[in-house]
Amino acid sequence: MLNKSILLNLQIGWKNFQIVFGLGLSVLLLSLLPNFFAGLILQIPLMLIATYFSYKGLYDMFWRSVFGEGSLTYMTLPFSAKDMVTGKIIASTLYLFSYNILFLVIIILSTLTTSGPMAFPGLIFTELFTTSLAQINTNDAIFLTLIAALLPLVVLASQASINALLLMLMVQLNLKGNGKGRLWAFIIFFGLNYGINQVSPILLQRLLPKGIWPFLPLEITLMVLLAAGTAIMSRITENSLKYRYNG
Amino acid sequence: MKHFIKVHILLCFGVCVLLLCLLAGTGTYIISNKILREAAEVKSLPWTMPLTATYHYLDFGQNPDEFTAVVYDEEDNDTEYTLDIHGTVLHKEASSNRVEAGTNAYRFYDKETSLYGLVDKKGNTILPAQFSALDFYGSGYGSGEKEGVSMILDTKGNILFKGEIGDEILHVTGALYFVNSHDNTIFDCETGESLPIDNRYHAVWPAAEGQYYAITENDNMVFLDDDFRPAGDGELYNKFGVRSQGLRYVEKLKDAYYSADSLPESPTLEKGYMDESGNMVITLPRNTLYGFRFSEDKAIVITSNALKCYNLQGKELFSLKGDFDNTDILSMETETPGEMCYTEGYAPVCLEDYGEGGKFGLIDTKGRFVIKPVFHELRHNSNGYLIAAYKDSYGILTVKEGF
Repeated sequence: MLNKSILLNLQIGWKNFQIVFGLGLSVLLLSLLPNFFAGLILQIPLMLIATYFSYKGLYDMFWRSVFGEGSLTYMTLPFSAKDMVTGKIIASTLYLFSYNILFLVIIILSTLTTSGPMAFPGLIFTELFTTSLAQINTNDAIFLTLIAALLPLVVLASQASINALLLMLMVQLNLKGNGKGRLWAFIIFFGLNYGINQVSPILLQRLLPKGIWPFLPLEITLMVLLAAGTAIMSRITENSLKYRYNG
Repeated sequence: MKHFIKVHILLCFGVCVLLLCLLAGTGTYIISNKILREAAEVKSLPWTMPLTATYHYLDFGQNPDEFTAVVYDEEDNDTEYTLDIHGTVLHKEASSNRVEAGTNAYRFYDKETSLYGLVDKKGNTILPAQFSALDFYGSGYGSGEKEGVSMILDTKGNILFKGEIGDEILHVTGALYFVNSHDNTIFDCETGESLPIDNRYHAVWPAAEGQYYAITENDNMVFLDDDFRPAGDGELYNKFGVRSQGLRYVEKLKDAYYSADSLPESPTLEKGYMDESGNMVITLPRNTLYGFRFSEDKAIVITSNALKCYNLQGKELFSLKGDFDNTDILSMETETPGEMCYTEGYAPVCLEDYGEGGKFGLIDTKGRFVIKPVFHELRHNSNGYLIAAYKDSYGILTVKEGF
């Protein structure tokens, strides 16, 4: 049933995520242009629109099908609360993880096709990556390789935990009778996303002078913590929805 | 396939993530190794002073085996070091706001008023800080600007010539100054005489010993003789380089003369090296962007898609594939971060525009790279030493023992 739940949620999100991927691919094509202004003027608005549609996709998956218009149909399906929650988290993670990878490719291409890393808002990450690459010594090469190889897993774990958090917040706030639950959930979700994006480069800049190797244990610990957090939050959401789906 | 993905969606997703991990790891490993190999190659070069990030800028000093290094400070308290070829500090001093202006005079800068003045060796004021610009040129004379009025002064503080508001005064050479006003003149500080010259000149500069050139309308240039009249037939040029070994790179406007009433609408440019008599002895292709000065009987020429080397007879010795389009960076020989000329059989070159990320390497007389193009700067002096900038570090290389 889990497989069916994933497919159903993918279907629910597709309406908005097809726009997100379309916009992402347009930005990708724009980053092939060796023109600073094309990158700066067109890429940022397109990315903002893509962000809006990705939130809309999450709204459909996490709210409309649970508490909104589609909830009654959804409740008639033979899914347990566990299938439902896990399916939603996996489907949303699959979409956003793919989008993150596309984002990463855009950053790399922007760096390669322009004179500097200025053509993209993700310039701090690019700069950090190039700085750490430029300063590597023989020992660092192995650490950097392992860090890079584990990076997709960290992105996956962090995306899954953020999605699990959003779903948990929406369900908890709504069940506590907060009519503006979804709004608060999105505000907290957006704030966290923004906060992590702002803090992590500063943290990396502080840590980088100490060498590259500390990032490897840090990365593994972060990955384990994020995976554990996702599991706990899924369990809490599952328990809260048991009365609805396990009937 | 679609059915398989639907049934095994988690498995497919997992495989994709693992492939991504593998790709990221492999890519990083390849890039890291490439960078490390390059760093090892750079380290193995014949350094007399190994690369160091201690200094923010390194330049050749006044003596052939001395170098000047600067450490910049955020509060303008820069420190200047004099180094030997091994990087040993010979002398250290805080950069002062004083610049030598003559045998017994120093120009000083007042930070509070942002104005310049003149003091003697003991610090006694010769001219108070009242000048928005003040420049001395070693001949004991200088030009300054005070409240919009340009003037020519000596190092004792005497005003030799005072222009009117809007006049511009440019140093030509020695004691000669060009006064750009309603009636252009050349002022001789030693005799105090003013020689009236053509009003259509926008600027007059020295071109070589005893020769001058003027910037004219449309930013064209014309060579001048001793009495500042157009030399020869007054041929017009778009660009020219430094004269060396009797030849100078020029871009000449075909059938365009200073004395003519009007210029051809879209004049053809004849590019090449001109001898002292004004004859074009080496003709270069139309896509030439610049020709560096001749040294050791060879000159390096930049075209839009190649770097070429010519001998004195105009024979192309070799050609390397390049990609250039920014002529501004290459037009000023003294401002390039690596003048592309031969010294002791080697020349620093880059195969892309410097401003677009081009990097400098060192080639031999056959056009083979003996040092790969990895340096942001590579400048050499006639003594066989090279200043190299790699990432954030500076070092000194020697070419004396060859490669």
